[in-house]
Amino acid sequence: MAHANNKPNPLIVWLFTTNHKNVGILYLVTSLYFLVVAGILALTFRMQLSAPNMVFLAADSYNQAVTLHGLFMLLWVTTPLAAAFANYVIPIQIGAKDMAFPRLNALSYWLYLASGIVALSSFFAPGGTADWGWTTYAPLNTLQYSPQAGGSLMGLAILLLLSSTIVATSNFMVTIFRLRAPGMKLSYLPLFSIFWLVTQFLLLWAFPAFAAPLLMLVADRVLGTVFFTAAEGGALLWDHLLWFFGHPEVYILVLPGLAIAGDVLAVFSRRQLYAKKVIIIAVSVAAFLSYIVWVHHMFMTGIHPGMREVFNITTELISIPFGVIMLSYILTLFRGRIRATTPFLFALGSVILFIIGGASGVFNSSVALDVGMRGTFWVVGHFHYTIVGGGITGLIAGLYYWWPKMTGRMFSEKLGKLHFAIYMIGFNILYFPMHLLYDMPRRIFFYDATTGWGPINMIITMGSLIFASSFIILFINLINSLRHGPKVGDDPWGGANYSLEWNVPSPPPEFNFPKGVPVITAQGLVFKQPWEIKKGITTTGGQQLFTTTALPTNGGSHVTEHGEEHGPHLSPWPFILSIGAALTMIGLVFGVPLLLQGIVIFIASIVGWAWEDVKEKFHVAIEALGEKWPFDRVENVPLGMWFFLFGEVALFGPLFAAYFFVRANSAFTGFAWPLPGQIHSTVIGAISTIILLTSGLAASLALVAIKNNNQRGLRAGLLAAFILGLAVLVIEGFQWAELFAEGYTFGTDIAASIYYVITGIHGAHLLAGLLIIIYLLAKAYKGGYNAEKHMGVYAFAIYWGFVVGVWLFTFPLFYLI
Amino acid sequence: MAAPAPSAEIWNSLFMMYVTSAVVISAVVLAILGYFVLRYRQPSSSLADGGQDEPEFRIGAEPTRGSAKVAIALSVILGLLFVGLTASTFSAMEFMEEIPEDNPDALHIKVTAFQWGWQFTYPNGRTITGELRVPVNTPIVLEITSRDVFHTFAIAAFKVKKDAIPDRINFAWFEAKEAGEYRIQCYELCGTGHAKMIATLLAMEPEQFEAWYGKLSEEKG
Repeated sequence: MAHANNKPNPLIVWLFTTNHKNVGILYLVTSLYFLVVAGILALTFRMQLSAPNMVFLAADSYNQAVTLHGLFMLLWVTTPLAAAFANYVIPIQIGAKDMAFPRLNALSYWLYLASGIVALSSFFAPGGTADWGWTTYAPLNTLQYSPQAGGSLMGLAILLLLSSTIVATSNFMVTIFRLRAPGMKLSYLPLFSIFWLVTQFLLLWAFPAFAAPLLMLVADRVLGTVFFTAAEGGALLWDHLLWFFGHPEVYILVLPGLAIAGDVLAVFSRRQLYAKKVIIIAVSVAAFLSYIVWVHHMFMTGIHPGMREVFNITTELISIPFGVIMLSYILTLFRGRIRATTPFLFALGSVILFIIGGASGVFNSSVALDVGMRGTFWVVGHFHYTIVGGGITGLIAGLYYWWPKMTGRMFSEKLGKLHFAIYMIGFNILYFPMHLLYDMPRRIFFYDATTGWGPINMIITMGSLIFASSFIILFINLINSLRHGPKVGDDPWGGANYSLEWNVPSPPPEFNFPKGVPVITAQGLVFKQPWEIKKGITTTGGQQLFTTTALPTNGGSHVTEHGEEHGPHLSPWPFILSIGAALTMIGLVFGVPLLLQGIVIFIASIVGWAWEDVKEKFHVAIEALGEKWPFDRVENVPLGMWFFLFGEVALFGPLFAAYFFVRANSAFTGFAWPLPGQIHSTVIGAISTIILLTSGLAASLALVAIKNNNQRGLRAGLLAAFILGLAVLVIEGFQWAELFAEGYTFGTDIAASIYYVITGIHGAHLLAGLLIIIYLLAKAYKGGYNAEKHMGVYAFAIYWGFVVGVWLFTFPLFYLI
Repeated sequence: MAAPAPSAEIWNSLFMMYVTSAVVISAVVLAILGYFVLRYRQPSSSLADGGQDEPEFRIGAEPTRGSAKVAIALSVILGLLFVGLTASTFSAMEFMEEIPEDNPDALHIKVTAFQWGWQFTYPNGRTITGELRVPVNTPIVLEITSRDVFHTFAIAAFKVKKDAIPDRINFAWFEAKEAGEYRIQCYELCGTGHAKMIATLLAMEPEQFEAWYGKLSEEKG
C-alpha cells in the first residue's frame, strides 16, 4: 500500500487504518483464522463419531464443539470471508476511492474481531460455552438447563457481531448506491457487487431480527426475564424468531460465493454471462422468498397442516430461481474459450456442489419426506453441500481470483489444481455419505454398534481428514506466493473488460485509480482527470453530476481545502471503541469492575470520535462523483441513517411480534394479562407520549431552522428536543423504579418481561438520541452547520422521528389495551 | 425390503420418487456442464498469453446474451415438476397426518419426554419408562409433550416423528405391521444425555399384548 512520505509505524497503520483495502485484508486474515479454528473443532467431533462406542470427547465437550463450530462457520467465517472480498474489491468495482464511511468500516471490522474474541473466550469460562447447538433451542438455552456463564457470553458475543454487521451493511448500501463511477449503472456491475447488494438487504432485515430473540435470551439469562421459560413464550417463540432469521441467513451465506462463481465462469470463458438480467431478477426473487419459508424448519412442531402446505409450496418455489441461476451459469460456458485455471475450477466446483445440494434440498421442502429427514444427517449433508459446497467453494474461487490483485503476486497453478482435486474428493467423501445416514440423529455424540451407522461414519471421518488437508495445500501455496510468487501486472486473468479492478495496479494504490476517475461512456471505460469531469457530464435526468472536490491522485496524502496535508486516513477510535464494547460484554457476565472499564472506554472513544468530527481532524473526501440512481437526491449520512433505521424496524418488528405472540398465547394458558391501567398508569403514559411528540416536533423545527440558516433556531430546537427527551427518559426511569419498589420486576411474569424489554430498548434509543443531540449542539455552537451543510441534523431528525414512532406503537400496547 | 409400518411404506415410495427425479435431473444438468467444459476448454498452452484474447464482454455494455424465453421455459418446466412432486407429497401427508382419533380400535398413549428418557402412559393410567409396548395392526395415537426442554420423538423405522415441546401437546400416530423391536430416539439436541435418550418400541401380537396389558392393569399402584 502506498503511503505518505512520513510513513507511520506499520502496526499503527494496521490498527488505525480506515482504508477499505486494509480493512479487507484484516477481514481476510481473521476469517481464515476462524475458519481453521472452527474446522479443527469439526475434526474433533468427527473423530468422536468415527466409530460406535467411541470415547474421545465427553458429551458436554462434544456439544460445545458442535455449537461453536456451527456458530463460527455461520457468523464468524463465511460472511466475513465474503466481506473481506467485498471490502477489498467492491469500492474498486464500482469505481470509488473508498467506502462511504471509512471509519465505520474500520469499526465493523474491529467489532467483528472483538465479538469473535469474546465468543472464543466463552470457551474458557467456567462450565464452558454454549452447548445447545447453533440453533439455540428454547428452553434448553435458559439458565435452568444451561447455567454456564459462557452461554450468556456467547449470546452477548453474537449481539456484538450483529451490531458490527448492521454498521457494515448500512455502509455498503450507501457505498454501492451513491459512490459509483460516472456512467456506472447498477446493472453494469459484476455479479459479485450486485449479489452483495442483495445480501445487504437480507442482512439488514435478518440480522436485527435475530438480535431481538437474542436480546430476550440474554435478558432471560442476565436479568431474569421469563420469555423462554414461560408457557406463553417458550420453545415456539424462539423457533419462529430464530427461523425467520435462519432462512435468509442461508442465502446470506451462499449468495456471495455463487456470485463469484458466476463472474469467474464468465471471465475465464471469455463470454458474457448468460441472461444476466434474468439472473439478477432470479436472485432478487429468491431473496424475497427467503423471508416466507421459515416454517419449513418447524414442520414437526405441531403447526397447522394447512400452514405447512403453504410453506411447503413457498419452499419449493425457491428452487425455481436458483435453478434458473444455475442453468444460466452453465449456458454461460456454451461456445466459450475456457481457461481451466484454479479460480475457474473452484467456480465450477461451486456450481456442481450447489446443484447437488439444491437437489437434496427439494426433499427437505416436502412436508411428508421431512418427517424422515428432520434432525438427521441428511439435513447436515444437504446444508453443507449448499453452504460449503456452493458458498465457501465460490469464496475460495474468489480468493484465488483476487489474490494476485491483493498481493501483486501469482500463486502456483499446480498447487492450486492439486488443492482443487483433493478438495473435491475430500468434500464428496465427507458430505455425500451423510445422505445415507438419513436415520441417524444430528448432534448425538455416541451411538452403539447395533445401529449399523459405524462404517459410513468412518468413511465420513476419513473424508473430513482429506478435506481438511486440502486447506494445508492452500495455505502453503499462498504463503509461497507471498514470498516467491512472480509479480503480476494490472490484469493477470484478462478481466480488464469485465470489471474495474483489473484496470488498476496490483495491489492498487491508496485511492485506487492512479490514472484518473473511471468513467463509463458509450465507448466503454475511460479515465478522466477530475477537472475534465467538473465541466459537467450530465445524467439522463439532466442534473449536474460533479460539483464536489477533486480526487487526490497522488497516491496517499491528501490536501484539504485548507491546504493542510494529512497522512493516510487513520483513526484510533474504531479500534478503541471495540475494546470498550468487548470489555462491556465480558463485564455484563463477569462483574461490575470490567463492565465499568468497558463503559468508560466505550464512552471515551465515542467522545474522541465525535471530537475528530467537530475539529474536522479526520477528513477524507469520499464524495459521490457519479452514478447515484436511485438515491441521487439524498446525501450519504442521511441515506446511511435511512438504511440503519430500516434495520431498526427489523429489530422492533420481532419484539412487537413477540408481544402479540405471548399475548395471544396467554388466552390458551390462562394467564391473566394485566388490564389497562392496572399496572402502568395511563395518565403518565399519555403525558410521556405528548412530551415525546413535542420533542420530535422540536427536532424538526431545528432542521427547518438550519435549512434557513437560522443558527439560533437550530440551537433552541435541539436544546428543546434534548430537555423534552430527557424528561421522558426520567419519567420512564421513575416508573421503572416505582414498579420495582412494588415488586413488579423483570421476572414477575411474561407481561412484565415484554414491558421491560421493549421500554428498555426504547429507552436506550432515547439515550443514544440525547448523546447525539449533545454532539450536534457542540458542533452547532462552533457554527458547524449552515443552510448547505446540515446533514448531521437531518440524519438526527429522521432518527428522532423513528424513536417517537416506536413509542407510538409501544404506548397503546402497554397503556391502553 | 418390506416396510414395517404403512407410514414407512408410503414414505419409502415417495422418497424413491424424489430420488429418481433428483438423480435424473442433476445427472442431465451435470452432464451438460461437463460436456461444455470439456468441449470448450482451451489447450493449456493458451494460458501463457495471459488470456488477452478478445472477450465478448465489455464494461458498461448492456448485456445482450440470453433470452427471457429460455428462463421462462425453464421456470415452467421446473414448476411443473414441482407440481407433480408436491401433489404426491400432499397425498402422502394426508395419510401420515390424519390422526385416527375417532377410530374405536385406536389405542391412545401419552408420551412424556424428559431429560433424558421417555415415559408412556396407557389408558389404564399406568406409566412405563423406557419401553413402549403396542399390539400390531392397531392404530396407536400418541399425545406427545415434554416435561422440561424441547425434544423430538421419533420411530425412525416407521418414519414417525414429532416434536415434544413443553406446555404443548402434539399428536402423531402409527400402526406396526410386524411384531418386533424398534428404536425410539430423540432427534433434537436436548443436553448431555441426548445421544442416549432412547426407548424401545415392542410391537407384539395382539394376544400377547392383551395378556401383558391385563397383567399391567391388575398390578397395584
